[in-house]
Amino acid sequence: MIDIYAVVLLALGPLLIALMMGIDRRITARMQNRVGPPLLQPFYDLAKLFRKDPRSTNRTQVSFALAALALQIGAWCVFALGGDLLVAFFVSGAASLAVALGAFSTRSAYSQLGAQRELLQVLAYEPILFLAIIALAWYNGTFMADLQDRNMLVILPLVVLAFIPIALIKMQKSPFDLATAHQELVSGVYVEYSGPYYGILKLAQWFELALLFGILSLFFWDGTLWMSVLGKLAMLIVIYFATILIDNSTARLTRWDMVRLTWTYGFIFVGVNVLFVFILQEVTA
Amino acid sequence: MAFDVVTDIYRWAENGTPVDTMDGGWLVLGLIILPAVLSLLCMTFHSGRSPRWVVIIAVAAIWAMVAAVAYLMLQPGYVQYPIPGTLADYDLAIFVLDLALAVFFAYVGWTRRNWPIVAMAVTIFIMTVYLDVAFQADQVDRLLLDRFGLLMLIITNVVGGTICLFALKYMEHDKAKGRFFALMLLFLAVMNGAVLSMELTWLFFFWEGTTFCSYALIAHERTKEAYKAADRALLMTLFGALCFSVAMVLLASAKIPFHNLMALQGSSQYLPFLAIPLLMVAAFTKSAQLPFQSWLVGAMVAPTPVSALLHSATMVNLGVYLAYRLWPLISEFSSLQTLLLLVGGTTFLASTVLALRQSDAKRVLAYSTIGTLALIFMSLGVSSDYGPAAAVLLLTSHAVAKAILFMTVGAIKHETGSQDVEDMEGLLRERPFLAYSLYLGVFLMLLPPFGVFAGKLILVEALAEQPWAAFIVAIGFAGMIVYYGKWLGRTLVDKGSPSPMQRTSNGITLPLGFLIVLGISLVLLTVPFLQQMLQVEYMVLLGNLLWPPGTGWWELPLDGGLLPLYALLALMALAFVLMTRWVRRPEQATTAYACGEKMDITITGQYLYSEANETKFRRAFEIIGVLLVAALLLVPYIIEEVLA
Repeated sequence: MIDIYAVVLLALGPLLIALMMGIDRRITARMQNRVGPPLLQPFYDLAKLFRKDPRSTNRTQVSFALAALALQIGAWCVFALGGDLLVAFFVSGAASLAVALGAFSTRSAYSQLGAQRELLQVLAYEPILFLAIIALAWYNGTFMADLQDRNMLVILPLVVLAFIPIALIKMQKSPFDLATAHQELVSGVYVEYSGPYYGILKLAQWFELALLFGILSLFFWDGTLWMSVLGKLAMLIVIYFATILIDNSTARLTRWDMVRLTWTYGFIFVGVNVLFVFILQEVTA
Repeated sequence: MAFDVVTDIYRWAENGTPVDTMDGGWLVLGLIILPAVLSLLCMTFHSGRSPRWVVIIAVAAIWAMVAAVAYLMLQPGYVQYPIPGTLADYDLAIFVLDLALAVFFAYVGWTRRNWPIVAMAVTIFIMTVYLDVAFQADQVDRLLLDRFGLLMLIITNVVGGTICLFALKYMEHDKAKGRFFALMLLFLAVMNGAVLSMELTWLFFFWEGTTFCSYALIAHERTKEAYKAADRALLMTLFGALCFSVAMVLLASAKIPFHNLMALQGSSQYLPFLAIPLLMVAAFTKSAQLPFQSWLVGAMVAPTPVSALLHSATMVNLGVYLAYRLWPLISEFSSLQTLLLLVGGTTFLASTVLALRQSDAKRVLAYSTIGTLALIFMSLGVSSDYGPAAAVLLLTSHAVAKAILFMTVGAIKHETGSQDVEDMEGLLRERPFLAYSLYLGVFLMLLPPFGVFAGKLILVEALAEQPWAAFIVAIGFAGMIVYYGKWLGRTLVDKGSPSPMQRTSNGITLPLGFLIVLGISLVLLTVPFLQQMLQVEYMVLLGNLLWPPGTGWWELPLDGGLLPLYALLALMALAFVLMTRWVRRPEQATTAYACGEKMDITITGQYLYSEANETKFRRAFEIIGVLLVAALLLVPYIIEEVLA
């Protein structure tokens, strides 16, 4: 039975993310007094990109786009099949490196700047995501995704909140959309990609976000499977809505403000939460 | 004289006398004697003549001997080979050589007007004499080979030998080749001696031998800069030697046998207990941990083969080796473990923060070495039994990866005249072989599921029991991706006006190619390798079962997790095949779009913070390091003995 769930999850994860992106665009449009595109627009976009002629500036660039996709799919598989969370996290981190390297390989000012910012984003969010996973595994005693069955929302609520800046960076949303800033860098790391190769990177991002929200979903569990799934979805929707709200109400920060903000916010939230639970355990024991 | 090797430890243990012996002891001894003798032969090559054939014969011979020893050692059931006989008679020779080294160091300090060096060398001299006069040496075997020793022998000789072969090409224009290769071979000899010594006085002699070789090799160019770096290295490693000899005096006065430090367990006095922290400080100096990190970074002025040898095959591994031998003792005291985690964690963080600012490729690699060694120390400080497995994996994979990286940087310097990251623009197009070996080296250091990554993962999952330490290393892991990513990024982009492709000479590609094959096979054989090295019932100074029995060959068990090793390797291979198939399809290449703007841009790297801040950060980390070392010497005793 578990295996069937795993396979369903495997296929469903990225599709759900794409659907969420469609909803996101509608909500954002409504917030800006527009009608917005159809709900399935992300799928239409991707289909159109893959129908275009392949054009690239060099072969290296394409290699790294493919590597990014393969690694993100691998990371998602590790997670969806109930594997080790840290392995999935590090494999996904390697994919971020591949995206940066792909952008580095083209002699274009925007692409280069985007790549350096992409690395800086990794520096900003990776430590926090890492600590969030450590906190989860520390309390549950295991890193395996399929063994996480405790309601951590009440035990580690601040860690859940620490996911918001991570989600903002990974979804390329304001105030942290530095690497792909469309106004100043003409979408930075993506600027030299077009057609199917751009599609590959888009698809890689679906898998990346699926992993991020997948890890976040582990923080909720409630006795029965259906209640758990509903609860998980509700939690994800709340966090997603929070990011849309922040995206539409803030301006882009500078590079240093991004690093400073995510580090202080993340370290304090995760640290205080872990310390609090630790003291509580010591007192009750 | 005949030195016998006991091959059947079980019967030996049962009956108290060796039953099956074989004439193989000379092989193990040969690993010390042969390189030392050939090193003397190299000294006879004067005025720029190259001792080419001596080096090639030496490397071939030590490889053959290591292969033979490994074959004997890896027979099922054989765990350790004491090398008995009359070696204790040579204690006098060791004593005299010890004194000679101390006098030499004092002389160096005198000529350089460096009084701390003189003071420390004289103190070491006095203490060596005192140890010899006041205490009777135990009648035990002086040398012993076990599986961990074998692993160290393989790393030292295989990786070190390859570096010597590489140096033949790299040093072709050097004026003092005889002296250079003599020191390189001597380094291998003393390193072999160090990992074979089972008794502290002998270990101390070989320990000092590596100090001598590293000093002389760093000063090889005989420029003002080289002498300055060599002095610094000597100052710091002599401080370690001083700690080492104080520890020996403390142990001797408490009647702790030098071949069995586990006897310390029962001791509740401060002075013998202090010996463990002192030995740990000695290990920190060799392995360039905070606050002693600066000598290794300064040593980058030496020719690149020297850096490669110091960083991958010899010097820095010795500190980790000592800590590994002390691990059973350290694991008895949670305060020692905590401080080891603190020193390792802080050093790892410092190494990453400082590496972000470097543009000299060798300095980036130096900080990366310091960081990886810090991770090894942390592995020995976690309270999980998986710690030593992580340490072994990190040590081995790092040795191969770092040798590849240093040799590549050396080759780039040799071919282009610069080792600055900013000058490596267009490397992929101009020198594809060197670019690919650079990428492989970095991937071995960084990417899942390669060796260093696997070791890192074992360590991190063990850290889940001590999450506070995870907070120290969190930024470090992300920082590693950034500083290596920046570097690779520079090599990928074509120059504004690309030059034609260059061929790399065979003297460089052959040694590099050999290490690349070695690195890849090490990744493929991670689990069998760990099983061979760790799944044994008994090791010298080690009582615990280090590797869970009955693990599958296809995955790496972790503390609370699992690394699907071969699934990830298959993914990597698939990605590689897909890449090469897809991108080789002919298609029209377009010029960069760049929003329609001009193409003749100058690309420079991003260094995140200013040089003034670099000095500030380094000082701050060094102060923290000094405080941690002071705490290491005092706090564990107070916690373990006074409060308990």
